[in-house]
Amino acid sequence: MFNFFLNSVKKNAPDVLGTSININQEELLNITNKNRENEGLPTLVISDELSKAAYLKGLDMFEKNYWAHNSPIGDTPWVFFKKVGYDYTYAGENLARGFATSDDVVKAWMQSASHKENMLSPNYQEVGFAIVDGKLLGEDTTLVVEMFGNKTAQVAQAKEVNSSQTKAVSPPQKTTLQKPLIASVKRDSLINSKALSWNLSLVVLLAFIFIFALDMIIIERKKVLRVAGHNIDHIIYFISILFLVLMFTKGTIL
Amino acid sequence: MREIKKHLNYYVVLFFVLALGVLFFLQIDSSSGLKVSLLLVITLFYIFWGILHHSTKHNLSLKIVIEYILIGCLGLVVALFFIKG
Repeated sequence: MFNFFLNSVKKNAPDVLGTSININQEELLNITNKNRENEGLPTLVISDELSKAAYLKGLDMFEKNYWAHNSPIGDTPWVFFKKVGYDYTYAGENLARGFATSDDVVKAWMQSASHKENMLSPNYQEVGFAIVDGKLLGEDTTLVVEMFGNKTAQVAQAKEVNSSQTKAVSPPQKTTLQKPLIASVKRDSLINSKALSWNLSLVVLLAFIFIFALDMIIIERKKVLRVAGHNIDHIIYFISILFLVLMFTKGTIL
Repeated sequence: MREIKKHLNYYVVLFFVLALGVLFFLQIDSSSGLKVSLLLVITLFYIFWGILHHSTKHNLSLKIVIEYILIGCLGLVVALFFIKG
């Protein structure tokens, strides 16, 4: 009932209760470059072509409703590089969805070995980002596509980088982009629904754990004989759900 | 503490199965349907294990069955509220 009420408010008054999201290209680039600088690597520069390729990839994922590097009809990420005419020697792709801030996105990528490899690869000189809002697999989400590339001839003879999101192929054909590019998604609500659901879940679970523990202590001390379920069962169960709430991150990367 | 010592094996099994379920849940990348299914499995195990335990101790009653089901439902609703919220 309460969830139904919250969903109604979210639908009818998104400015009051909704998901607060603040992801933009500039922040993504700055945080990525900060991580590269920490490793003594040269910083990446924004490529409009790569950003267009990333945007096309994001649109394709929403249109064909998939969450993968390859589309259901078998298109690889490199197809989008070709579509914008990005003639690369090295290319890579990172994907993220469901995160609220640029910092959370980059943090998640840095915690995954293969994504980190892309972000800290010395083979790349350019990067492009697309942040696209839409409905994917039945969920309203913000998709972040990051595409890396290198056009220079200096590394053209270097070996292919061994990563699931990274590959080098031959030069593509150029096409023009019809739709405008989205460089950021910012949504502010008076009450952040994610924070609200997180806090409420915690309060309810902690309250029940406390009540069961207190009840168990009183019953044991007063040596009351009672035909009822074991409070320890309930406490273990609620602690499991509590852990799930505490450790669950809504965003996913690919 | 007496209670824990008395049924230690039972609680240890419950703890490990639920912990395993939670760990597996956190490893699932994207499929919301799979997450909800796993949550349901965790809850059903908790209810089944509780009822089975009381049944083996010969003190199972309808009141206890309802207690486990209601608490299981509450946990499920809170978790779903959080996931979908």
